[in-house]
Amino acid sequence: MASQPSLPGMRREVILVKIEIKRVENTRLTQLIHPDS
Amino acid sequence: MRPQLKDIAWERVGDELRLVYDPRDQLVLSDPDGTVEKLLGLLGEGGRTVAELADELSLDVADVEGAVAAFDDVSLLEDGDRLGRLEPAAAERYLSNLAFFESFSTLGRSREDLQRRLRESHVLVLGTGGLNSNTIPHLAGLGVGKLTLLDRDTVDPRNFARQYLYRWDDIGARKVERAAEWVRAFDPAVEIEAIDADVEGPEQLHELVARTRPDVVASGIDRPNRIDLWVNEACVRNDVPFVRGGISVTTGTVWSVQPGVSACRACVPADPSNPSDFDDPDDPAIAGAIAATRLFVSKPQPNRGIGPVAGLLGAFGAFEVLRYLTGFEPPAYAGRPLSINFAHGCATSQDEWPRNPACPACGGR
Repeated sequence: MASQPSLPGMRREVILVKIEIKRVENTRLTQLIHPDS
Repeated sequence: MRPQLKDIAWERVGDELRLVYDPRDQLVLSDPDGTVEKLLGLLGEGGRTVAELADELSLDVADVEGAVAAFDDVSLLEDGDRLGRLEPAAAERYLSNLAFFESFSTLGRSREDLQRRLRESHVLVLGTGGLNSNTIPHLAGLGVGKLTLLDRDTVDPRNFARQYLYRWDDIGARKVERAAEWVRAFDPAVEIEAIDADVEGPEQLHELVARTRPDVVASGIDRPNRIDLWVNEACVRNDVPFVRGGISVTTGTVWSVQPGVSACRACVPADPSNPSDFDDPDDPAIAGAIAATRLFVSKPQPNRGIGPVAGLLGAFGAFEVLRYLTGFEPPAYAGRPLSINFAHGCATSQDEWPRNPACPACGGR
């Protein structure tokens, strides 16, 4: 989301960005990742 | 052999007997004429051979042998000849161990046999940091007879999130020396060797395992990145099982390798961020997982092992070591890594590593 400062005489413009997040579960290789001990 | 009934309660319910050792697992036996109850009474007293039991009950020896075998199948018996050999002080020291082992003892192996195996065992502990500083107390408490400890570090303030062998006054001291001192103070009966050294390669590890001849290796070293393959190679070559645990973000992992029986660490891709380590890197699910791993390892990762995490992983690892040393049950994580989800109630799951006939370390044997 971005906005311009609302100064006297200026038109205030607001841009909304809709965020869509898809979660992709990855459990296939997790036990192969070098773990910290 | 003198079959001895474990400390089991029973009651008659009509023509049946209800036996309880563990309340979740009651046993019901048919005994319309009371013969079984008489046999149970004599087995509870102990001290009689099968022939003496048969004589006292006026039964055929074969019948008593069959009954004894049936009781042994459900782990109700021990061999009285294999009990009572521990010194009173040792029986007191290992009271809870012996009570735990009673659940797994049979005519062929008494609770004292399992404890004796621990007393005669030797574990090589690689690293005395987060994981193994939580494993070492369990091994000492179990009564493992000998521990060889190896570490290269000094005690640092950051260790105090999870490493309770060390005291604030130890900051700057050699970690392996302080860990060895902790074990000596905890139980002087544990023989201990401290090796203040870095791990430099598979050949050095091979020589270390060949020289010290441990029954099991508890691996808690996480650097350099190929350390697991080095430990794996050394242990497979020496036919010594090893146990490894660790954490990645919020997932804990514990796995072991039983050479000649399970898949080994080199049977599966060494580097999950490298497509060339996979047979099927273009499989969409694999490709996505490889990409996620590549992004993950591209950023430095702090060790996120807080105390309860290291405590749980250390305990799971010690439990697996206990399985190898005593055989009270088969190894649970050999080629079957246990994952613990610390973001969801410590829920556990297990995967299976396939054995790889082309494995460079074990050849899938």
